[in-house]
Amino acid sequence: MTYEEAIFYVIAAVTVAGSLGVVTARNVIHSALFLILALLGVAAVYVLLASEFLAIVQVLVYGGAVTILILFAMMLTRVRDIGGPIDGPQRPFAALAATVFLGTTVLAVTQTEWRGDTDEATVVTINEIGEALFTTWAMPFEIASLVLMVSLVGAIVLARGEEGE
Amino acid sequence: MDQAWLIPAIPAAAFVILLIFGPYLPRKGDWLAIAAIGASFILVFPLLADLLDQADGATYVAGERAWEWLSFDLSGVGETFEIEIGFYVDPITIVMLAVVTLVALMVQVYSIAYMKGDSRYGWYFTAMSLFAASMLTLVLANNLLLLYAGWEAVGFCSFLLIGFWWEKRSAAEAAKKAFITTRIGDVGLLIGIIMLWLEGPNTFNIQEIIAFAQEGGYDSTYLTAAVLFMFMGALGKSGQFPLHVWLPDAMEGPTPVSALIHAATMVVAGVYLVARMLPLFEVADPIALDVVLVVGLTTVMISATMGLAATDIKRVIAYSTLNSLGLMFVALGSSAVTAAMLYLFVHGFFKALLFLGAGSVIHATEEQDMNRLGGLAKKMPVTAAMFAIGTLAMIGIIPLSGFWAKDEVLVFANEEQPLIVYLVLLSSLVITGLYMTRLFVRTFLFAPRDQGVYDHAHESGLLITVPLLILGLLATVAGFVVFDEVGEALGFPGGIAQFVFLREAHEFEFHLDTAITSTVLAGGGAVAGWILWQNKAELAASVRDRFAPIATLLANRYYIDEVYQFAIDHIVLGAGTVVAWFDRVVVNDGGVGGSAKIGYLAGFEAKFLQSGRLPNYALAIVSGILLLSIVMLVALV
Amino acid sequence: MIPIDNFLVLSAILFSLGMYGVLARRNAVLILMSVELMLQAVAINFVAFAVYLYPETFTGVIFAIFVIVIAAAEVGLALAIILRLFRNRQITNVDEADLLKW
Repeated sequence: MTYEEAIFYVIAAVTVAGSLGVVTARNVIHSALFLILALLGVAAVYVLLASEFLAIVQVLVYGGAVTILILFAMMLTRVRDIGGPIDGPQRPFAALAATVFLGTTVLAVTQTEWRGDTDEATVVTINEIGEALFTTWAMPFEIASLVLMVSLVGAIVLARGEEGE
Repeated sequence: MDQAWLIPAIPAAAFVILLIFGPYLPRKGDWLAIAAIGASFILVFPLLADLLDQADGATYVAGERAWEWLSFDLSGVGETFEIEIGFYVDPITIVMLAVVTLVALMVQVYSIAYMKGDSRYGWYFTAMSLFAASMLTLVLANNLLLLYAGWEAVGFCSFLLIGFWWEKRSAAEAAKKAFITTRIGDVGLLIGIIMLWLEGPNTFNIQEIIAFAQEGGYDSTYLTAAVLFMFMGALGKSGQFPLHVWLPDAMEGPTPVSALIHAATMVVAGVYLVARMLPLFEVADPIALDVVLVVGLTTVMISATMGLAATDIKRVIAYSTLNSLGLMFVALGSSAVTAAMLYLFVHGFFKALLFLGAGSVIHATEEQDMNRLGGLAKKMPVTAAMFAIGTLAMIGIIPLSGFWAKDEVLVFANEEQPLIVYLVLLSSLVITGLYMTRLFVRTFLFAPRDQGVYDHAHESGLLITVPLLILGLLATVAGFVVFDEVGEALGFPGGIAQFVFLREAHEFEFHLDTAITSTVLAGGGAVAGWILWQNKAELAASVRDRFAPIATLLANRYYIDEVYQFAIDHIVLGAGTVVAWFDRVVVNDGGVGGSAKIGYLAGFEAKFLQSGRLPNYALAIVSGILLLSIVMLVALV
Repeated sequence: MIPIDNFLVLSAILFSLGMYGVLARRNAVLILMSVELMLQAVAINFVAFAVYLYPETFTGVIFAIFVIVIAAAEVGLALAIILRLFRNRQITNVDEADLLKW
């Protein structure tokens, strides 16, 4: 086992643990905190995949903005005051479905013959990404920014509420 | 011959015009109906002339014209099957045409006065036109399907006209009874037609079917069954036992209708059918003709005896009609087409005369119960005289027309059949004499029994008396067509026996012994009737009291109606209850309701799958994806 | 170096956990977080394929960026909807929002 692999396993273990925490924690705030852990783990995975830019974006967008947003939403909706079980009645089916899915996917992954050299990750530099984004992908990039803006305006309109409310 | 189609077409056109524009026409269009039937009557003569021109020696080449009506490609059989509208003219047709058009003309003229002021005056003439068109189609049809169409149409017209005054419950009931009773026979006729077609030469053409049968194309038993089924139709239409029950009740219709439909024309359609189909009856097992004979004989006896007990003058004449029709069937049962058609011919006149005479009485007195009439001869001399002619013709007194026709029947019965048939017929003559005399005596002679009715009476107008006089004349002289000299004078090759015949023409022979026997018996019956019912009819009353059970039996018409009613109540309605139960429970609740319930339950139960809960939908999506991925994996590995 | 299979299996585990969370949880915010996990799994897959199999075009990396963008937009909108639901009906559990049934 190379040291890179060792690092991967550690990071993978942290990520999976965080994810497990997200879906199993009894306390919703704990769930959110576990989510931060998982997201940071994924950022580390990006580093291992030689995509530093993605790792930085991941930390900024997810670890920062999205998580904070979720925590705000939790506070605003007072989720902890809502009674009743946190899991729905179809939890056994959910577990079964997830297991079956995991099984089939892992099987598919191990059964597939990947083309080329599957042991060596090629570094994609920030320069290359930036160039690609503003040349080849310029149009989707603009559309994505439009979508983002529309959704944020929509979110504001939805969250603001009626006049006099 | 080419114009034969006009004969039914003109009244049919009149019917259509009257139906649509009738209410807007002056006098509600009665003149149109009369003109149409008059034109049909006149058109018979060129047809007759044609037929006589084409006569080949002693045989008449029957004219036939046909147009294609429907054509089917029978893929199973591999041949084309055509239905034609075709007309066939032979001496039998001519006799029928003459009777139908002439009597219809007389009756419609008579109806102008008789139906005057009726609220459905226009509709009456409309229906009469439809009847004339249907009847003439029936008579002229060259194929069984067209004949059947006309057959059903006249039945329908009969229904309409019996129930003409449908506000009267008894009239509506009588119309229903007539329709249903004749339908029973009609079903038999239809079965017979289908049977003949099924095994036959792929045609409905009557002459071709007859030729086919004469070549032995049909199995004998099969043919016998087919003709007996057809005879069922004749039985119903002509009111023969045991389907005779509707005819007396049919007298609920207007009297001219009774004269035209229920005496002179429609009811003889059965006789016409059997006469037309007689070659088939002959080829079939002898039992077929025996059935015809026995049915005719039975009807003669029961109708004559029931006529003794009836008190309604129209009903008595209705029984006499049954009596006459029975005689015609006896003739047919002896293969005597000539005798049957002669009787049919003269019967049309004298029976229409009797009915119209009765109608004149009813019109004048508004009373038709013999027990409240009497002595009317003084007030209504013309009607009484004409009624007397009709009565004597019916009884069969020489030299009136009924005598010649009846003697022909008697001669054939004497020659062709066992003695018992002859004796029964002779005894029926006495009874006929009795009840016809009773009818006349009780209505027109001696002291009136109801002074109010008597005072009300008056002689009818010209529109009524002129048809009576014409028919009276015909009823007197029509019988002379038996003589060759008379026939030749009229342009025929000889007497009716040389014109209307089954296989070969034969000379008219006057059988003195039969003539004397029948005259003595019929006259004796008439005289006995006179003695019994003269003055206050004390003698008849004492006779009736002595034979009270028989009198009751006759007055109740042998309880045949009661038996039928019982059968309808218990058998038909019982079966109906079963069918109704099946329909309600199995068909409706089980079949229709059940399948609807399946749909309803399926929808109702399935809607709960739509829980509205997001997780359930998500699980469903995931299940689908999993299923797909597993399928793909199996395919891959 | 680390074989690609490792990343793919990690992504599969994350995706399965996310799926479990989406199906099992009742609270809308928790479901949203589970959806985020699934998105992360997808993004890892994209990047892994990009850097191992198609480094010359690295389309997967670009896709991952777009995934992050869309996820951000989605989270913003979804949280606004949840907030609205809570304000109008005082619920945050998705199985209680079943007015649309039958």
